Amino acid sequence: MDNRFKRTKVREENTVAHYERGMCGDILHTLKENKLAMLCAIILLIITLMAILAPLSPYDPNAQDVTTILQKPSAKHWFGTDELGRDYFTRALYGGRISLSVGFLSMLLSTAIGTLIGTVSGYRGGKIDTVLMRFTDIFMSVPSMMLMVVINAVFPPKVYSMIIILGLFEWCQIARITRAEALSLKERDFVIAAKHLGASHSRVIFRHIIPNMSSSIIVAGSLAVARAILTESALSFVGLGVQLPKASWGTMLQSAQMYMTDVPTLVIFPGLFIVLTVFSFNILGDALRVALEPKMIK
Amino acid sequence: MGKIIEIKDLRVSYHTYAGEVQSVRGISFDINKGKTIAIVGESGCGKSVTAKTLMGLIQTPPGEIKEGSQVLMDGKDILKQSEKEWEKYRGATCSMIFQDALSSLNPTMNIGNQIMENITNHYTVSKTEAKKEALRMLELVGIPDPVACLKKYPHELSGGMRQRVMIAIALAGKPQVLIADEPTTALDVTIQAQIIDLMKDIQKKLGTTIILITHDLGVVANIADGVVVMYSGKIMEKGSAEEIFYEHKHPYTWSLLNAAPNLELGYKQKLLSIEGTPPDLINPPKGCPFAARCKYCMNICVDEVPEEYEFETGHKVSCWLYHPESGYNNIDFGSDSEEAGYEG
Amino acid sequence: MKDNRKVLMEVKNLKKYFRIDSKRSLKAVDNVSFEIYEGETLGIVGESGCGKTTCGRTCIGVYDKTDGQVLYKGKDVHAMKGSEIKEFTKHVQMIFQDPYSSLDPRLKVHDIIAEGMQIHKLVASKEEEMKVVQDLLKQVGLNPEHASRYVHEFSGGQRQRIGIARALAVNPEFLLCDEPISALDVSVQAQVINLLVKLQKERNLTCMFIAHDLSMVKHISDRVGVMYLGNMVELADSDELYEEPLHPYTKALLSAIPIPDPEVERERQQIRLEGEVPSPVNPPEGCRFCNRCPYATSVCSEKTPAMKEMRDGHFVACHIYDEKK
Repeated sequence: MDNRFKRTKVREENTVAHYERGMCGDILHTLKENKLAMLCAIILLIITLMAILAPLSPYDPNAQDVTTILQKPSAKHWFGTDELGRDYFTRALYGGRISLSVGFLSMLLSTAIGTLIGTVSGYRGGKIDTVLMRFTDIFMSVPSMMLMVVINAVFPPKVYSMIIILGLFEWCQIARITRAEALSLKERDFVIAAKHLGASHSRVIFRHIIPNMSSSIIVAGSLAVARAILTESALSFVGLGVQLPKASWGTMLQSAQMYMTDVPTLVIFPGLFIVLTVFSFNILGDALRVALEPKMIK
Repeated sequence: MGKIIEIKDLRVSYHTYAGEVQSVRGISFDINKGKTIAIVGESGCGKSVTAKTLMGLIQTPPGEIKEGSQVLMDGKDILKQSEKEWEKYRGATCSMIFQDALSSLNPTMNIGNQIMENITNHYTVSKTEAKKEALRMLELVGIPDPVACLKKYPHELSGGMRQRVMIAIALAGKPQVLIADEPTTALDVTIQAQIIDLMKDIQKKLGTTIILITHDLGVVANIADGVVVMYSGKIMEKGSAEEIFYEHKHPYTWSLLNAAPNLELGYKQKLLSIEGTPPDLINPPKGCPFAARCKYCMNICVDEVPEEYEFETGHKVSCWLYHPESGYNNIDFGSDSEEAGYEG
Repeated sequence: MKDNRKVLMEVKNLKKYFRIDSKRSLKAVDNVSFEIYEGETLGIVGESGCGKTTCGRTCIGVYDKTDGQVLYKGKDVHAMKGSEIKEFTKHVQMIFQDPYSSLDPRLKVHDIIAEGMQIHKLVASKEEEMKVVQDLLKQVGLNPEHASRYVHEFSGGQRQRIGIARALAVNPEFLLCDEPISALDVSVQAQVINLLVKLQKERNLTCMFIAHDLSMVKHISDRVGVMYLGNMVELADSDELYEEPLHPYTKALLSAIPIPDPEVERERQQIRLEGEVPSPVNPPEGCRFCNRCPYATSVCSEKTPAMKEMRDGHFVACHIYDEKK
């Protein structure tokens, strides 16, 4: 008999082929597809790197030099100098350090608080839910900007106190998002299964519920950074945020207002940094939302 | 009996981020006027994609209908239609009903308007005539108190009633062909039987050609004249219902028929099972797609796509077992218990 | 024969209502009673919305009851506290219908299966845990090397096997199988059923098997209960139920099963039920089935029929079988 027609046994590999990329892969893929988001990611990366590497600048951000005040941008001073003769580029970098770290750290704080309150509220339901959500509602109805102004006016603002205050006023939205997620996740079969295996509430929350809403948290977090940077700049601009001579983008704008007509670059550069950073975080947040949406290959 | 639809070498792919999913990989079959043909297969075998192609519902991108594919409806290649022609075609030549009636009906429009919309889209009639026609349709599909039903909204109806309304809407444009994509899967057995009866009844009254897409062979036995068995984008076997149920030649058809439990089966007797899972359609196997799960697999099955062998007119099987040289031409499935798949 | 079997779970007049608003409630399970004997498989069949899933979940304490009692080895399931509940979950496990939502997508197969062992501290070390998980994977027919993968790499049938391994990891005595195969393809259903039957034999499990597929239930069950709109209408040994159904609903249900044989299908006389299942929010008075029953008389819409034992172990709730006047 022809060998071609001999019985044979094929044993295929017993799993479905692995085509999913995981969360990081999804994000990278979306960035590749979405050119604007890619550009924003690059801008953020550059700004962050520059802020981190700021000490490499040959100038001291706070060293005054009366001989070189209010210079136009040149090869020596890329962004020119300010009214006290400080190198404006170096100040912008140091300002970025403060603005970015305030934005980022306050986001971490607000996300942690928001996720915890939202998840517990949604998961436990009942009275706990009612109490926590009313508490959130009250927090949301407080005019936070005004309260922050008052608090900063009473206590001398420091960078870390800014972070804490911003964090304390930004968690409400994240709590709402995570509560909604927890409400739907707790009805999912795998959560019921875990509970019926005897898992404690904290185990269910930290092992099953929170990891499964990580994509919403990442998206909310990236938008929270943008909001925090804006609030910090606004507070510093009115003089209630980071205190001079420390530079932040907000304080730079504040001291530049007087020279706006003479040396417009003093306003343009810090303004540009704020706009670029906030814009990039917002666009990235949107791109992440798309990237992390559940999808299927069928 | 004239052919109403001829599908020739249809190939459809979907471009996903993982690669090109070859959902339908070269299928050809004909459908005769006024008959019911069932396309049977498991999820992901390409049966729904075939139905969508017939309705022009493949979105491109991500979908792609490959060069050389042909679908002739009354001799006219519908794949070359313009969007205008498609609009005329959908509803008036060919209609489709879906598995999930609730999500296929418009929740903000009452039933009467939804039926009338389909009538006025295709025919120039006055409003009162359209309403009369809508009533007639609801009567036809066996809705008790059709007058009251006209004013109702989809959420006020039960599952079976919604499926009936869907059929009424689909029939309102007087289509020649009705495609039913898993029409009974979401329904309970007792309701399922009612809907199948209804479809048989409609065919008798209107002479509509029905294409039934399903995974349930029990439903097929009751209603189909012809059966097409699909597996991972290819046709394994096609023939009349009798041929498929009694004279099946393909090991896959045989396994499918025997894997389903029936009432004759003994208590906790081992069920015949097809081991493994269907192949991945991004990298389909180069030979027969069923080779890896087939207990009659031969060397050639792994390397070469099987040829189609014809038995009686219309009964065609794609399987190397029927190659004149294979030596298995008269295989009797299930008799050789040693290999018959009773998993150890 | 019945008397020397030990009752493992006893369900007495169980009621489970879901509140919709202050006035209305959905009567998912209404006055259901039955027993499950040790080592047997009790099948529960019924159409969607008949309360079979709710009944199963209430029996094992996933849902609170509204009224009635569920005794597991003589202990009231819903009155258990803290450590008792934990002990109970070690003995009673469940398998879910949807293999996609029942496994945590963020965990690896190993962590999913080992979760129960970690909670109940059944293993002393990581190495032992690894060994047990690999053993379990082998038992359910998966490759032990797959323990380090995420669940999205598996097909529906394989996921269902992982779900079974998770349930078995704590060595349960009782398994609630809630439509474990209805989401799977025909060719894969048989794999999972064969596996369940094999494991049940090996481990002497007691099972409650919920399904809408009557032929599958017959295949796997010792006794079968038929539910309709929150009530149990018939309960009998599975062979007897299929050969001599007493309740008109059971008869109609059996007759509606499609048979994959064109000739038989064309010949046979089917009982066609008119209408559809009423809403469980306001079910009909009297017998729940009265508005669709071909044999309904006036008494049916007035009085709810009680469960009567017609033959040894064959219970039915229908007025047809009342003492003839």
